[in-house]
Amino acid sequence: MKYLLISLQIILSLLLPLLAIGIIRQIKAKLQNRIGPPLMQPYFNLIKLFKKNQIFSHDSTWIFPLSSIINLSIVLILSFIVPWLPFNKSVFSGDIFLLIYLLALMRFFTIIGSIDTGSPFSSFSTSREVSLAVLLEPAIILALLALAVTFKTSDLFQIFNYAYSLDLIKIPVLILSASSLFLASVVEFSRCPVDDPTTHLELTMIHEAMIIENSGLNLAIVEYTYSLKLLLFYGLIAQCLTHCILIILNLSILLQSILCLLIIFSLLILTSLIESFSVKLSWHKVPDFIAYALTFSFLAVFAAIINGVSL
Amino acid sequence: MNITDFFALGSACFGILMLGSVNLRLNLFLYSLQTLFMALATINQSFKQVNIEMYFICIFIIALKALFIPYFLNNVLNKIDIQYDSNVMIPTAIGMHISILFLGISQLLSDKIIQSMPSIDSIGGVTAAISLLFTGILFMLLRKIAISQIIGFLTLENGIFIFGVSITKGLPLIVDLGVLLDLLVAIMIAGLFVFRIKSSFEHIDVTQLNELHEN
Amino acid sequence: MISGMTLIIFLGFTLLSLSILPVLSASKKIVKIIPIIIIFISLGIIWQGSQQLALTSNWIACQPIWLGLGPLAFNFDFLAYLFILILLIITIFSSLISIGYLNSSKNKINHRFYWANFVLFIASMFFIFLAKNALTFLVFWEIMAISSLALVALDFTSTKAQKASLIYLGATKMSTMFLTIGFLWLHQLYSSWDFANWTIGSNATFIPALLLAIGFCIKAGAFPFHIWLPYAHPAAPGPVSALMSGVMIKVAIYGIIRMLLVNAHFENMFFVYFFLLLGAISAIWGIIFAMIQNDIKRSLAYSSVENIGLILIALAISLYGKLTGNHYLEIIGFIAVIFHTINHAVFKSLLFLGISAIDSKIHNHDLHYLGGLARYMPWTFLCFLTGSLSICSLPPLNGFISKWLIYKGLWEIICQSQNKFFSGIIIMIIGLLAMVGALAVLLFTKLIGLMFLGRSRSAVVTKASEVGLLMRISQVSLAFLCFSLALFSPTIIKFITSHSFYQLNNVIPQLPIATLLIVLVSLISIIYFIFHKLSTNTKNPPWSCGALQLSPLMQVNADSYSYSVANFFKPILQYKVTTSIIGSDKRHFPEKIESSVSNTSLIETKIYSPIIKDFEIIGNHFAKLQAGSIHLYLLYVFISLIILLFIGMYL
Repeated sequence: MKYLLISLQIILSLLLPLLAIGIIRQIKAKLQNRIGPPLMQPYFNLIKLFKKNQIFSHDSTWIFPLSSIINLSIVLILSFIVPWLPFNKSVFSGDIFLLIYLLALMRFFTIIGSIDTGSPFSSFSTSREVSLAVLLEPAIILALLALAVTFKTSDLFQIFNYAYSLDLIKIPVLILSASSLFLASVVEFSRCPVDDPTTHLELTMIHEAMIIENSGLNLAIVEYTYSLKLLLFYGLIAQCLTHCILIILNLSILLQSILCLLIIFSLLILTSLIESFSVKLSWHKVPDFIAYALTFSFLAVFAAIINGVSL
Repeated sequence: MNITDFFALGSACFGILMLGSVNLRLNLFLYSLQTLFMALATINQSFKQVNIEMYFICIFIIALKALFIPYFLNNVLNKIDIQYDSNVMIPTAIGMHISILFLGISQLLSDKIIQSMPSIDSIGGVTAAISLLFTGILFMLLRKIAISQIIGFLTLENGIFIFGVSITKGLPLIVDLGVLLDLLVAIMIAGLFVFRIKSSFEHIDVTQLNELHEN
Repeated sequence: MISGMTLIIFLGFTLLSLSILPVLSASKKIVKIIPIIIIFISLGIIWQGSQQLALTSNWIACQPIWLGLGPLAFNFDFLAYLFILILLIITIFSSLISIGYLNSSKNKINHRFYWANFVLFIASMFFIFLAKNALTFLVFWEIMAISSLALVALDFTSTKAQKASLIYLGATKMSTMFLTIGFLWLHQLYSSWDFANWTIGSNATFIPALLLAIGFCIKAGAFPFHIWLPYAHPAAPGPVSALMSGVMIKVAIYGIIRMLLVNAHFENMFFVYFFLLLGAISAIWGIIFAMIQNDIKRSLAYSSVENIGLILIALAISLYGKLTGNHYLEIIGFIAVIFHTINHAVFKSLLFLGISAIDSKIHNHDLHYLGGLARYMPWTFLCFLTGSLSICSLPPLNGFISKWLIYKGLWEIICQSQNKFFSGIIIMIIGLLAMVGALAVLLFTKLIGLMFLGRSRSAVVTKASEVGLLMRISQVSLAFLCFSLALFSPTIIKFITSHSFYQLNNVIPQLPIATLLIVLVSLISIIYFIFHKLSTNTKNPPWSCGALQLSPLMQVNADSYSYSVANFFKPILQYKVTTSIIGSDKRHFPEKIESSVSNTSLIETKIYSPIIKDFEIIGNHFAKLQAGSIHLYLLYVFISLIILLFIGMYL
């Protein structure tokens, strides 16, 4: 049974991420009265990129092609560390500190990979990316830590263990952590109020400018890595919200899974709504935006502490 | 943590978020949410104490403080055509984080208060009250536009009300109604003043009100 | 048959006397033999020590040789052996790389002088770890201070080195002063110089314990006392920096562990808060200053401050465990201290050796002039990359494991503590550590990116070539050590636990790091081989918006890379950017744009400089006493005689 679930998870982690990107784009197009690309367009793009020739910068070394491969491997490992689907089982370890530092490892390789190209655009966007990370990492770790303190374990799989308990005091912590993680994900994935992935001005972008030199197969890997990471984050947020509902309602496993997927879907809708209705913030306002994520994390920690720290 | 604590602390959280925005309309909206949560906490408390008078007070609070006053101030904002209080003393983010620090401090303070008065059952209420006091004062300190001062004052008043509700069994109906009426009049007058100041000085920056000095 | 302990002491003294050799003999050959002798003696001590460890781990005192007030006494136990192991491993690689470094050095370094002090430095640290009583400790402490000072001042003609050695001398003297007062006080209390007879921790010993803590913190370079590090490291030659940062500041950590952790029983939480606070501030302060430096060695020096902060936090965890009687927590903290000390010694030496390698080829460690070195020095790049990944404590490497243990220790405290206030502080410290981690990623991506990757920013770089075999071997073996420390971390942790003082019921938490490493490497290689076959590559210049040529100066540079983050911490750094535009029509046709950033250390300008200035003023007044007149001096003698007589009569 366990191996069946693991293989199901692997299949889903290969299929779902690009679908998520497709959904965001489709809903955004509908909101803007456009027909929009078909839902499967990210897959077609991927296949097209696979066939294309890779172009490397003159200045790049072996780090550049390798960094995207390393990131892909890390995100595949992450998909076993983060309980992003309701039926995930702990294969490895679900330690929150390991999660945070694997994310940092990804960031490290993304950055040195894009500095390696010698392109002015990508190297400047790395500076932006890493400065946002400085504010973002405390927010993420505190949000996860608040969950850990509330559930009395630092293992994500034990936090989200689907044990039904009518324990209302956990709800504020779960909601606050989830909102903090959502705000953090907007920054982490350079979605709209922080960075507009669809503009053509490389000077103002963060993520897209960082991968400006990637092409062909390399770009395909980067795009897939990005979308899987996005899905993992949204899965984690969805787990928090699912557990909120589970505290009040006792559901069967099938209903839990459907609920979790529905929440991921609604998070995607929320993302496209935000992207349609908000404008890109100026670079100087972005730290203020992260400050909200940090505030929600602090509040979550506060709620977790007053709920009784003595575990 | 019980339901009263949950709502009271929720209202404290809205107070903290208020510090994070320079958009005055958003501030007013957060204020009315904060008042709503405070009223819900009060209802829950009076439900426990079987105090029927409190229900009336809650209804008045929701009607006046959570709905009418924000609506009225919103109108004033429309009239004077100001939407942002962007000229803050310290960055909003830091102000917000400082007020969270004060939330922690008020938790420690309310622990001390509870130790001296064991009859209080709602520690969250006391925490939220002290935190709202701090937040209101911080809000008045850090902002420069007169409307912000009013909002800060209202937040502070909310803090005092929650403190009263969680420490006593509730004041007599007539006292609370009197306080509400005073508040209403005060806000109406302040709103009119803001409008007048704007029309005669072209701005409502309170730090520059020393222009009114007679030399 | 001599005993093992005698053999170790004998080897140590051989090492010590080796320092006379380059002074006595003027021949060039002697200098070449010395590193070989050092390596053999080190290997001998390591081997003999491990034999000793298997036999017994008790305290063994040697035959006393009197040092005025007390015997020259040594003892050998597990703690000492751990630190000696660190010292000797770093020594071996550092002396290997010294050979190449000295030969290619641009400055006229006197080889004989260098080796004499180098040997003295190592031998004194070796004996500090073995010292059994305070006198022996202090004697070798001073030898260590002086010999390292001599190494910092090797290039004594440059004003930079002069300033650095003066600041270093001041700091190390202050540290000795605090230690001496603390030791004298404790001697007064227990009327013994032997560490074993002291039990620090009661209220009577509070002040000497505080003095010792401050003395050691000065030497370790913890927060308010860290200012000597960023001066001393850039001035010292690379291999010496590796030893100073890798081992010498750990001597102070050893002192803290020996005096304030192992032999102490504290009654209140003061020292927990003290080390926790100092550690947290050191960590964030060190890394903030590290990230804006343009001199690589200065950055690494500040990064040592950060790592000392982490070690102090681990120490506080252990102290807390000891205070609350929680052996599990105590052991986790202890292992985190030891393991992070080992790790920091390894990866910091690796980084400093990498910089020595670059230094020996380019003679420049300013980030503004580097870039694209990866093509010319592939081995150095690979090793530096490993070291950077490790020092950022990123997962499959050794730095992560010790940092993870620190996190686990803090997490255990949250679980155990009944005090909401204390748990709140601990959670905030975890948040702070996450920020420190992100800043470390910033710093080391900056170093890697601006030194090794991209296009070269100056023509000097293009003349670089890979360093010689010896330098490569020592770097690669240290990088290999980074991996193996991670892979065998369960064994090492078990080794440390088995020799410590408690039998544990709980198992120390461990990550499946070996599995992680293997899975990661195999995934990377599988994906690489699948995709490598699939595609063809072409090389083109990077995207330039259609402009013809991109200048290498258009890439991000050292100042612009850290600009945004430096802006967040503007008040701490006193960060200022000044731009001046020259030209007749500045707005549309600037002819020359100059931009420079400046930062000052608040601690230095607001605290230390005024104090030093006051001392100078007082000193000038005292100088008047020494007017050079014989009669005046006779008057002083007379007056002091009278005062002493009165004191003798009435007291």
